[in-house]
Amino acid sequence: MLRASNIFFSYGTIPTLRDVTLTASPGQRIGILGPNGAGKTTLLRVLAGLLTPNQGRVELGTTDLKNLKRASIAKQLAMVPQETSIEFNYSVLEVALMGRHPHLGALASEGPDDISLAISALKLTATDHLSDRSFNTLSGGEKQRVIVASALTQLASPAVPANRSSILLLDEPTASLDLNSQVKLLALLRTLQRQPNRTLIISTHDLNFAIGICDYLVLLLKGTVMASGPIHSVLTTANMRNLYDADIEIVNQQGTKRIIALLTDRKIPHSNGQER
Amino acid sequence: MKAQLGTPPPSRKRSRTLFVLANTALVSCVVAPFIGPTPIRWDAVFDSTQPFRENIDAQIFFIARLPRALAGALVGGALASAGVVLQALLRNPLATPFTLGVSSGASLGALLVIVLGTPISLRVLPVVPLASFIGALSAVGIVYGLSRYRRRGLSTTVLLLAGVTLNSLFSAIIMFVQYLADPNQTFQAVRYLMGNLNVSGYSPILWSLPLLIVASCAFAWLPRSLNLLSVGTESAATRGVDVTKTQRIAFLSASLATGAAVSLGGPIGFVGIVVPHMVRLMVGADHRAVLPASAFMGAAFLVICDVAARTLMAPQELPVGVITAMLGGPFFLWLLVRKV
Repeated sequence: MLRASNIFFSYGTIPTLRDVTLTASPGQRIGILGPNGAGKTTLLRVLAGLLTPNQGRVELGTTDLKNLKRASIAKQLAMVPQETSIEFNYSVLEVALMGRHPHLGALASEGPDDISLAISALKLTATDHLSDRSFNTLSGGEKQRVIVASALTQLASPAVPANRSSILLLDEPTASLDLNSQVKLLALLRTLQRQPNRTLIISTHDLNFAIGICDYLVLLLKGTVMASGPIHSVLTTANMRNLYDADIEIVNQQGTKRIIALLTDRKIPHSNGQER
Repeated sequence: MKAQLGTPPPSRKRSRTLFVLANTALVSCVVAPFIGPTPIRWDAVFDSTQPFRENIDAQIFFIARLPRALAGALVGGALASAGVVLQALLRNPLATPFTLGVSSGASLGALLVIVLGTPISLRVLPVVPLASFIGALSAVGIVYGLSRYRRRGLSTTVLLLAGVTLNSLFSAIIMFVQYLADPNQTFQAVRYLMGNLNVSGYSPILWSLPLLIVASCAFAWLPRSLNLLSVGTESAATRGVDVTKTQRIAFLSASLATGAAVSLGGPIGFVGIVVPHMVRLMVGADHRAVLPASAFMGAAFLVICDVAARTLMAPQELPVGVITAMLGGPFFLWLLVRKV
C-alpha cells in the first residue's frame, strides 16, 4: 500500500503539486493523466521518494518514506523512467541484474539465483534473446522493455512468496515509442497485472494507453487533482475536455464495450481530397 | 547463447584478464629497474656477499630505480582508477581525473612553493609534494562546494563546468606567477608541470601511501553503486543506491587518489582516460571488473612509459608526462571520432 496525503511540492518558488492525495492498494492499476506540465512526473518522483514534499507525507505500508532507507524502499517499489540512455556499454543482462542491487550486501555479487531471476524477467519482457547484446544498440522499445525487466528483477525475490506486494511506477512509458512498441508494452503490462499484489502506477498523457491498462484514474491539472476514481466514472467526455482543453470525445464502442478516446479536432480527409 | 547464462563465462574471462593484468603490473615493476642507461646485472644486485655500500649495482637498483618503478605503479594505478570513478560519477566516459581542476590546483600549489621559496625550518618535509597536494584539495573543495550549493545531492553539470572553469582560472594564475618569477624558477616549475617520476628514495612513496590506502578502501566499496550511478542518479536511487553518499565517497576518494598521485609525479596526463578505455574494451563496462583492471593496467602502463622516458633519448631523460601525452592525445582523438 502506497499512500500520499495532502502533498505540496514546489521547485523553488513555482508550486508544482498542490494538495494531492492518492492511495494505491495492492493490485490496482492507477493511471495519472494530465496535460504536459500538470505535475505527473513530479508526483511519481514524490511517490518514489526521489523528491521530498514540502508538505504532506508519503507512506509505504505504515512507514513514512522519509524514514526508510533507499534499499528498503527499492525492495518494494521500482520505477521505470521515461527514457534511459547509458554512456557505457553494459550488456542487457547486466542492466537487468542491476535490479538486484538492493538485495545484495555491499561487497557481494550476484549469485545463480539472481541471474535466474533476471533471465526470467527478460523472458517475460520478451528480451531474453538480447541478453548478450549491448544495451546501447537496442531500439527505444527494446530498451524500455529491458528497463521494465530490470525493475521486475528488482521486485522479485527468491525467498518470499510471489504474492508479496510490490509497486511499479512507470513514467510516460509510451512517450518515445512507436505504435508497435506501444502495443507490445501494453501486452506486457497486462501480463504483469495478473500478479494480484502488484500495483501499477502509470503517468501518461496517452488516453488510449491508459484505457488499455488502468482501472483507476487520477486526473492531474496544474498540480491539483481535478478528479479521481474508478475509470468508468472518471473517464467522461466532459472531464477529458476540461483536462486537456481540447475537443475530445469518449466513445463507448458498441458491442465490444471498449472505450476509445477520439481526438475530434481534426477531420480525416476523404478519398476525394475534401474533408468530410 | 542462452546456455552460457547460468554459469556466465564472462566472469571467468574477467578474472583471467584481471590475473594477467595484475601479473603484468608486478613483472613490469620488477623488470623496469634493470633497464636504464647504466646496465646493471641481476646476480650482482642480489649478491649478498658484497656489502650494500660497495655494491653499485644494488644501489642503483634499490635506491635509484626501484622506488621510481614503485612510484610509477602507484601513480599510474591511482590515476587510472580515479579516472574510472570520475567517469562513472559524471556519467561521461571522456572525463579524466584532471577534469575537475585537481591538476591545476596541484600545479599552482607546487609552483607557489617553488617561486616563493620555503622557510628553512620546513625543509624536512617534502615541501613541493605537500604544496601540490594542498593545492589539489583546495581546487576539489571549491568545485565540491559549488556543486552542492543550494542542492541536496551533487550537480554533475556544475561539477563539470566548475572544474573546467577552475582549470583555466588556475592556469591563468600559473602563467601570471611564471611571468613574474625568475627564469630559473620558471624552468623548475615547468619541469614539474610536465610530470615526471624522478623520485629518489622511498620517503615520498611512504608519504602518499596512507592517502592511497584510504582511497583504495573506498574504491573497493564503490563498484556496484558506480554501475547504477553511471546509468543515472534517479534510476540509481530507485534501485536502492544512497546517491548522495555514493557521490560524495566517489568524488572525495577519486580526488584523494589524484591528489596523492600528482604530489608524487606531477600532473601526468591521459593515463586516467586511456587506460580505462582500453580496459573497457577488454572486460566490458561492469565497474567491478573495470576498476581493479584499470588500477593494474595503469600501474603497468606508467612503469613502461617511464622506462621509455628514461631510455628513448638516454642519457637525456624525458618527462614521462610527455610520453603519456604523446600516446594519449591521438588515442583520445580516435575515441572522439569513434564515438560519432
